[in-house]
Amino acid sequence: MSTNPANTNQPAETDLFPRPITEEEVRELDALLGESVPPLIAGGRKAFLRDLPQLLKTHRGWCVAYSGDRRLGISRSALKLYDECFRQGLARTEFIVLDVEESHFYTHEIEILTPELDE
Amino acid sequence: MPRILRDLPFFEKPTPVHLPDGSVVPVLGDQIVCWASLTLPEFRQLHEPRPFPVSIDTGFNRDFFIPERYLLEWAGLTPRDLARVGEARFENLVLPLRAATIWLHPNRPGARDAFAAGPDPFDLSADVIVWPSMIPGGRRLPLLGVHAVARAGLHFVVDGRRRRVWLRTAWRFWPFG
Repeated sequence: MSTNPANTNQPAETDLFPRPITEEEVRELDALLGESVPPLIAGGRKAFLRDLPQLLKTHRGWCVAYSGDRRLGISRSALKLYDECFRQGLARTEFIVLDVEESHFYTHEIEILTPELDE
Repeated sequence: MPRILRDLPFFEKPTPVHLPDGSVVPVLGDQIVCWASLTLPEFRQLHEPRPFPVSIDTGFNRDFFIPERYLLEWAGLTPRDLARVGEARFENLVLPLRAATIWLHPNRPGARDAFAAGPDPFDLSADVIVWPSMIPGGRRLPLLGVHAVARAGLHFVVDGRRRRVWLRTAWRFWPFG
């Protein structure tokens, strides 16, 4: 791979990542759907992102469950975490299970190559 | 080591898939299709399976995609049944991600649309994109993406010459039984 800065065929690394989803876009989606991400799930995502740098050092590839700011458990199996959270009496809108992977640092951009639905 | 899909064929030419409700869905040539069910995440057993065809799409980079219409008609769920856990960007749209369990039905070796008698469906946790009916541009089939395969640690093998597919869990060595 060329390291020559004059090589303009290579995209800059920042071009590879989609632009972040803004709060305004989320608000528009909330309005469109008439719902928002449940507060304990939103809080769980926030706590997870806060902890992710450390988790990547210790538990990369594992799964972790949060309810708001509270970490409920960590396991290699997301399904086991779901079981544990439901066993604790939590509803499905009260916790989130996330994979410890770097992709959470950037926007999930979807690409789909399959043909569109014929209506 | 559970084999989920074994000697699963895909075809050069378009083929029909017949659903239990009598409807027929066309599958294009060289699309890899298996059967899956979708449930709420708290379900650990499929008491009343509602299998539907799913395309395994290596060009789809998330877990699972399903048009709202199919979620209703095939899985018997509404988007709001599934907790919203985040968002994802698709071109100029922002779409919700929802948590669900996907169940992959093992095929009878050599057949695409017949199920194996033995193994139970394989369940995996997935973030599901439900394509809202109000937005044009859904897809012809639900999609299982590469992220779901990676997340579950599965091995996916395509034999292009024979047009056959294998999907299995990872080898595990348990020294103490």
